[in-house]
Amino acid sequence: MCMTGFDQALPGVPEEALRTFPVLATPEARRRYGRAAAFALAGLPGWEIEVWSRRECPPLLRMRALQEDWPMIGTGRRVAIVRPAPWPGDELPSLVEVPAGFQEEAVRVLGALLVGEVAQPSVELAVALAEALGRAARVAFTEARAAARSEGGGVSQRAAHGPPRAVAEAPSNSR
Amino acid sequence: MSPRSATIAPWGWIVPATLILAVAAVPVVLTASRSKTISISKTERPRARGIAYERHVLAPAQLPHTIRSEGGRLKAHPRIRPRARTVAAAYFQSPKGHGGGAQPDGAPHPAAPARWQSRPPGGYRVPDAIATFPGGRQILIEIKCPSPWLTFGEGSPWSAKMQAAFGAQATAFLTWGAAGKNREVRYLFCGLIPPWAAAIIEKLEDHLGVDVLEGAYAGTYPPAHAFLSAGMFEALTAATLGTLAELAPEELLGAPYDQLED
Repeated sequence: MCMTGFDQALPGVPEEALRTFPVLATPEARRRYGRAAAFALAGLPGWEIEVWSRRECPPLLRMRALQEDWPMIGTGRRVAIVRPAPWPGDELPSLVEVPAGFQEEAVRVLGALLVGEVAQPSVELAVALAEALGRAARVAFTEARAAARSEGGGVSQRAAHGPPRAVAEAPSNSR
Repeated sequence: MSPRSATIAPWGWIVPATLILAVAAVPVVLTASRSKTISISKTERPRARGIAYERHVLAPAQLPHTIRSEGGRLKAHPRIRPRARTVAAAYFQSPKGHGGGAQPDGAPHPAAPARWQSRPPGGYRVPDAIATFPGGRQILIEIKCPSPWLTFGEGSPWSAKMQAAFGAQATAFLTWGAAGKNREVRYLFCGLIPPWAAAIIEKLEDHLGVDVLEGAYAGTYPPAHAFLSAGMFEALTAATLGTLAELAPEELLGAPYDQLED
């Protein structure tokens, strides 16, 4: 279930991913982790935030959020749901956060994870992955918390590569 | 009176009378036993679950590890003395469960206190933990694991007791948070926040923000998964029951074997 720890939140990533390379038991778990890791190593936000009034947030959406590992951070009035950003396509983004000398390995490991295959990174790459995901998780938490505390009604959404914006209704499923 | 009947009286009635009394007592005993079971399940089991979740979150590898990695230190179960303060109590009913939300309870149980106090005179409160970071930032952390699927109507005695405890405690913690600019209050729920708890926090947070994290540290806490499974089962049943009811029996159960075509 959700990685909603202390000041950290990232959709589709298990909590142990912040300390080590996690056990990813299913192809879907590997794909989710691979996408989150690719976004993090590229220095891009791999999440979207939608904010609901608690009273208006559909119960099924909140249950789905728990089931799909989407963190929920909010206040008594509002809840911010952190969903994965849409995957841009088949090509990996530029992995600017990967240490020198590990680019090739990173591309190979992420390529395997993104198609649901098992991969085992080296210790150095595993550390870089955990650190990049940790940084991303802190940013995602801070943004979600700020969004939940912001004033205004309705649903707002943070685009994956742009500033927060208000939308008239709940965004469609991004997965 | 015949000689035969005279031979069994009067002590002969003791055995049948005892049997009748024993049979009559069975429903009484069963009822009392069931009442005790209901009482235990509504108070002791949630309490045990809450303590187990608290231990899980406060285990060295969980919250304390995260706080340390952020440069802070965590003190479990500290005593705090927030300013003595009372607020008007607000009780809620949730007759349709989580999906139906919470509505104000127009007639709470007579024993429910009309006001919640942050602490008794001269007393103190014990939150689950306080994290302190360099620079003085402090975060009070309260760990909760109530079932989000509880249903209860107007005037329920145990829900009034539960909400009074939660509301008075939240009053204390929010009062503590309001006493310093670098203080925050954070609730960590093992799953979804129950609607009555959200309603109480909403009522109390008018002057101060409070963070509510759902599913916090739940990935490694199996009972939280059970909560989710129960909720999904309930929701899916409700969502599909109408459709199933409209189906003809053969559509619902499948065509008889001898009518199937290869």
